[in-house]
Amino acid sequence: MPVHEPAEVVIRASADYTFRHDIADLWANRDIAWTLALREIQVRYKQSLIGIAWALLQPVLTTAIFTFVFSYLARIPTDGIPYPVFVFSGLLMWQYFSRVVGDAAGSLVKNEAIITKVFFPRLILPLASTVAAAVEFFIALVVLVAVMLLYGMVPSPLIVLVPLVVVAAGLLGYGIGLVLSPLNAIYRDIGIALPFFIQIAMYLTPVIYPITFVPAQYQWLYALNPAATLIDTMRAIVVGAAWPGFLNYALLILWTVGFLTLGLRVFRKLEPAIVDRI
Amino acid sequence: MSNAITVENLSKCYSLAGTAAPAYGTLRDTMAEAARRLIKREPASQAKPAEAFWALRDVSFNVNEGDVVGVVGRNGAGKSTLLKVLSRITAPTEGLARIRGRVGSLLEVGTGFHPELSGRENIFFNGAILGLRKHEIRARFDEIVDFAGIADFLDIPIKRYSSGMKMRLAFSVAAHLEPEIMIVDEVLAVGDAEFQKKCLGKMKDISSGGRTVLFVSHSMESVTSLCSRCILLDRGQVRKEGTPSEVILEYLGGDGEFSGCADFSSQGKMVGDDHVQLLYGEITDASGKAALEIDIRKPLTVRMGFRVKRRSDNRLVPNFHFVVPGGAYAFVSTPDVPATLAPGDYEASCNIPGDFLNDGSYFVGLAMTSYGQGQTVHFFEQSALTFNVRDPLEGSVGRHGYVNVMPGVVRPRLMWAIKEAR
Repeated sequence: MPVHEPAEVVIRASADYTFRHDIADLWANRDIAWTLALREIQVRYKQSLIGIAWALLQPVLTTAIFTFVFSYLARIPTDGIPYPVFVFSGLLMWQYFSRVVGDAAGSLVKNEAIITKVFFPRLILPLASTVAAAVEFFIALVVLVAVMLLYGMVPSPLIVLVPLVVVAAGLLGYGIGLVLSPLNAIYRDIGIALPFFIQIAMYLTPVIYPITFVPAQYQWLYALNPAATLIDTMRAIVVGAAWPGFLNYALLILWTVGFLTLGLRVFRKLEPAIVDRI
Repeated sequence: MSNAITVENLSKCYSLAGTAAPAYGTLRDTMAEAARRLIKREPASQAKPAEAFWALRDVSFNVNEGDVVGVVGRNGAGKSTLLKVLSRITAPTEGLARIRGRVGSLLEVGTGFHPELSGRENIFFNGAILGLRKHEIRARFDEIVDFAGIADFLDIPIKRYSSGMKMRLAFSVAAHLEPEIMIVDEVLAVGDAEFQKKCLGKMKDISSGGRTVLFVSHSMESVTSLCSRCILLDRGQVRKEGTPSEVILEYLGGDGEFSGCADFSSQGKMVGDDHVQLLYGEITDASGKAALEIDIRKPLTVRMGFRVKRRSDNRLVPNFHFVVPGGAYAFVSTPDVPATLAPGDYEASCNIPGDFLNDGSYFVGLAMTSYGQGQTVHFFEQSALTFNVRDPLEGSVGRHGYVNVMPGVVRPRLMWAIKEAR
């Protein structure tokens, strides 16, 4: 018998949740998060011919297209790093981050069938999306290493730090997902508008171009973009590009803490309404 | 004995506006509304109270540990909403409920199954969201598969399962969680007779193991057989709480007062005519006590007291009308030998043997007819008495382990012979 269930549960209109309670809730139900994440991956590639290979193929094809358009045609300089390696390393992180935001925001709606029938902490659902996206990220990371070797580059030993960047990106994405997912359950507009905004955000983030490509007087603006900091950190670790400054990291932490705090509040506030209005 | 579930003034209000078109709300409407308020400096509107629907209203009850409690009521009475609130799927609007112990709930067939995944994968997934750790699921895996009887289909996607298979698997997973409190909503309506038997048996095991079961059913027979207590919900409120027979008879009887005995002499209006007057009616069990619930194996007696007010040569024929819920007649019974009676008080009684009626509820109409120059009905009090026949499922006629509903209004023990044919 699982021991994590409290002896007495009081069901009332609105409960007060503390941060500590939320964390305990998530930790106690980590099995569910993991199972949900696995399920998300299993379901995604079920009945597809090449299965999980899609997780590899997508960034590879995108990289090929970006390389053709932005390197061969537009000739964007990349500080001496081969463009495919440059764009692939950024793209991986961007795809992970944007997938976390998109999937976490849609997680409640997608799992409507479960949340209207079984109780488990709803906070788990956006988290499961975060974990599922991370699994795909690490699969694709193998391809990045292969591409680098192809271009005669040896990944630096710093690559062991990649999981840290993934956790940072995951926390930020989870925070944003916590704000968006209950709103999306009530107003489907979020789910419709989000892909469009993610598309715009990609061009505001140095994914296909380096920050140095931007006129110098605007470069400081990128410190405000936490995704830019994450991607540049990824590039610094894997392909030895320049590290973002201290201010960038301070702002990244601020964004993350801010979104997590806001997200938990919004989520808990709207939680009772979700099932009735989804 | 301590309470497993305590419900205090629980209410649940659904906003009809929230489910219908306007406020199902696009973001645009909400923002337009907010902007309008900002411009006009109105306070945040708590308006639109008109569209509220109270699915539950001030519901209070307790469930003791180890009880099996049936929740009955018409469609829309709030049964499912109550179970949803108690299993924490939706939050109440007012009031509170205290739950002591781990809850396993089975609110709908195929709860949380993913159609693309195999039976095996779904067992693990379902077990996890119901609160089991992986090793715990592994330990129970064979038992779950065995109980559901799906061993041959473990590795094909659930979407190719029949609804019966899905239902069996869902029940099996929920039942093997060994919850301290099991909440089941009308799942036994699906599935074949054999599986229903297994489910009822499993629920009995769960309750005899000191755990608590709360279940909704439209099968009054299984409520009578399984439950120790019963709650009748009517338009979101608890209309009656008590033994299954009391509650079921109230439910089936509609708005009137029904009981195993009825006194007609003290009522304001006399029942009868200037010749014969009805005094009382009563159902008694084998020991002669008034009873509302009768074991199917035991006899019962229907009694009717009446007063003959004047001398007459007409032969009096008391008659009892046995009617089942829905209004169909089971039978009418009259004495073999009608009597010519002098003025005075009398009691007519009719003995119904054990192993004769089927399980379920019966309404008894009390009537007095006489035959002289033509036929005279002195009184006919329809549905004057009610009683409920309870089948313990074991040792009763005809079952031999069958637990589904036995059709028919009677289930008599008859003479049978099975011989080798020559």
